[in-house]
Amino acid sequence: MESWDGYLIFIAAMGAMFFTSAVLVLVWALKHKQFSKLNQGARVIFDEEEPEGVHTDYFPGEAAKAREMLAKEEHKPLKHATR
Amino acid sequence: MSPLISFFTSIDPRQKTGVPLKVQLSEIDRQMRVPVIMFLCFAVLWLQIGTFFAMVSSIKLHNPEFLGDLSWLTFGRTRSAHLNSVAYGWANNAVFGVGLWIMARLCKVTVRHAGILITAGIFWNIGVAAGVFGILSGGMTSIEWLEMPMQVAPLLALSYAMIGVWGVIMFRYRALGHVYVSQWYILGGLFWFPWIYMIAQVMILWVPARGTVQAITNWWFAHNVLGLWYTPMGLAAIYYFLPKVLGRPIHSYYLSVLGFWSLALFYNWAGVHHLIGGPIPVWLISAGIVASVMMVIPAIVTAINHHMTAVGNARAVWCSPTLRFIVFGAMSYTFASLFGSAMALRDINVVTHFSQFTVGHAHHGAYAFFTMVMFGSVYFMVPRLLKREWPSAALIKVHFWGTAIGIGIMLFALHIGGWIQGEMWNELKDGAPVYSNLDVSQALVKWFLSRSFAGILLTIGHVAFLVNFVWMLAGGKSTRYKEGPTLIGDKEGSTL
Amino acid sequence: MSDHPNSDHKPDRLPNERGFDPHEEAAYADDTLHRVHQQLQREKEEPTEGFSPIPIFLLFLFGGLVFWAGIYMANNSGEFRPDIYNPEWKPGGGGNETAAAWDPIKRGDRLFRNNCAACHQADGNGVPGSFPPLASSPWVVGDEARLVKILLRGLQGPIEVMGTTYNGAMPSYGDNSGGAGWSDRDIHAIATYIRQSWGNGAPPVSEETVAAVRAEIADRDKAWTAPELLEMHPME
Repeated sequence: MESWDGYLIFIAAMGAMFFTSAVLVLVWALKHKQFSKLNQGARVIFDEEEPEGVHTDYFPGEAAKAREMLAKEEHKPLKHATR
Repeated sequence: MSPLISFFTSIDPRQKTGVPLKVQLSEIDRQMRVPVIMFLCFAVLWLQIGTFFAMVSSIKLHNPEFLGDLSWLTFGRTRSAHLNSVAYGWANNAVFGVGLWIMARLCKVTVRHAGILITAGIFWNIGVAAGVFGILSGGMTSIEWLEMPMQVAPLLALSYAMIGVWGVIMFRYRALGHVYVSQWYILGGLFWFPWIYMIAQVMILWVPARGTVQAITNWWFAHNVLGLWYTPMGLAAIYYFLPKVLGRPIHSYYLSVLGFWSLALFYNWAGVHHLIGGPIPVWLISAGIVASVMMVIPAIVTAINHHMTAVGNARAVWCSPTLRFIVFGAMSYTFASLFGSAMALRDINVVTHFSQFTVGHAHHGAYAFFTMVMFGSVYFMVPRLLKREWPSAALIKVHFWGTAIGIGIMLFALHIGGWIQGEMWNELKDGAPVYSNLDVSQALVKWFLSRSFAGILLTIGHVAFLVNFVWMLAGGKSTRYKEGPTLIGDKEGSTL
Repeated sequence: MSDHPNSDHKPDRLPNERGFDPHEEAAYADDTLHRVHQQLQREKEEPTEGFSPIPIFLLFLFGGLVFWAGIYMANNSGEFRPDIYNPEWKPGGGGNETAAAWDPIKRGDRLFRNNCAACHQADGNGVPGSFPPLASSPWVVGDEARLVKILLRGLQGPIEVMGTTYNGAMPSYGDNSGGAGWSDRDIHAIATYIRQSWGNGAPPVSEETVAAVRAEIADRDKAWTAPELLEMHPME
């Protein structure tokens, strides 16, 4: 029974550490304003080479065709708007 | 400057100031090329080995005499060899390659001592090979997900430390500004995996805890390795590649951050639901059930986010090999998570526990979600790293259709077959089971056959992937990119 | 990044002259890029908030989940006691009492299957030449003290059962050295079970009888032999 308690305390301590570390990081993130201006945050993945608004991946050898098709699609909402 | 300090200065991976961003990015790709490609090579190799063991195990379930005379290829060993080669071989190598590359891109820094990373990667794979050899030769442990002989654990742990630390160093020296949600996921995973791995190794194998504590630790590990290691890495890849390839930011970034934090704070509890009905304090199991059901929150949040980002872009998704796989994976993530939450409920678990339903669920998460996402990531990364185009669009399509249809059939067969199996086991008349074990096994044969058929489709897909990958590595100038979608700039393929 | 200590020694990593100008040319020459940028600028005219709030139905869903979690834990936590394994357990009674009703036949069946059936077989007929039968054996249905003595100390050497002589060793389930140390209750259950199974119709052996026999033979440590037992309890 004693050793059982020892293990349980160990597990509980590990669990508490797990949780505490997550909370600490959350506090860090809050302090460093990671949760403000989220709309800009979502755009950090884009850069000059692969900017926002540009598709960047096609099947090899089919890019031109695909771009043409996508261009047609992208013009559709425009037509609706002018009507 | 003392040698120690100069070493610490030398790991500083930041780029020289004043260099234009796109120059920095191409530098990052150049410096990450060798380690990342190495990890991907190992990953693809382990995928084939894992597929072989999977096929052998699957055939044995409906034709038990198949290879039955070879002790090295008996079911108990091939099944565990399959699990360990896909988990620690394929999945971990893929995570190392994809995770570190995304981390480098988002932090806008790179790995300074790539030699250490490469060496550690080689030792990791030596460790996995030794572990799988140990399993096949009969030295496996009886602990699910930790079947490798315990002697390889220190090697794996040490190699991991030397691999994972570079992700942390990159994060430490990241470019200032916002930490993108993928970085959170990768950073979390890099800390969670060694944590759960070492505790499980110590408490189960090295200094064994007594009694049911071992079982609790076992399932705490086995569930968390999926939920706090593969899942965050898969989600990091989705959150990076989905908006990146579509060229539009994620629908609601707020929701993605919420999804990460609910996973980080509560997922850790969920694994105990594997012990429903077992002799452990009932409150622990109930807490595990509640935590599993709470995982509906990150699942729904992520589902809404991915759906709203991709919706209206179906054609763009279809035109991109990366997104075909990634969107398939993202959809599977939603369904696998919701199934998982349901399976934790006592009333459903009483049917699914121990049945093939659980096997189906494991492949739902680990294959239909995680592996498909990793395939998509590889299709995006390798052209940028090697500065050349994939040699064959047809092989990519074979890969996609083989794996997508294959895993679809397999999930259908295992979920339906597993449910029938569970219901047959539970069928009682006057307190005695109605069906003998033989009846149940015979009822399952057709579902096992479907699984083997699905396995053949998956194998075809994996071989197509292997051929394309090797062709790409060996391809040289003949297959340089010509049209310009994937590698903006560098039009003539002049720098390599 | 301007305070970066490393910025003064990496001349080898400057961009080479060749590769980078084409980037920009490519970007500016790309019609798609221009068109999409125009489109983006149009889209930005719409008013947007700092961030999109959680959709209202999600808030309800999350609230519902948390509510369910509270109720579930309250009903299935077993008061957070380490010794409660049954999810049906209710504080102050319920479930456990009914389950505790004592049935010597049920208990005996379980004990028999786990301990005896390997030799005496599930049908109680034993194995001819090796293990004596229990079904209709006078050693089982006869004097209850004799049967309890065998169970509590085991039996060594030749024994004649219904005209056949067996020579083996029956282990002890009592508290002598090497015995399995079963309680009076379990001895009572197994004895009653074998006396009332496979067509045997002998009366049950009570717990008190077992306790009395146990006290009587407390000084003896080794297994019985058949002649010894027959001397104390002659065959009826």
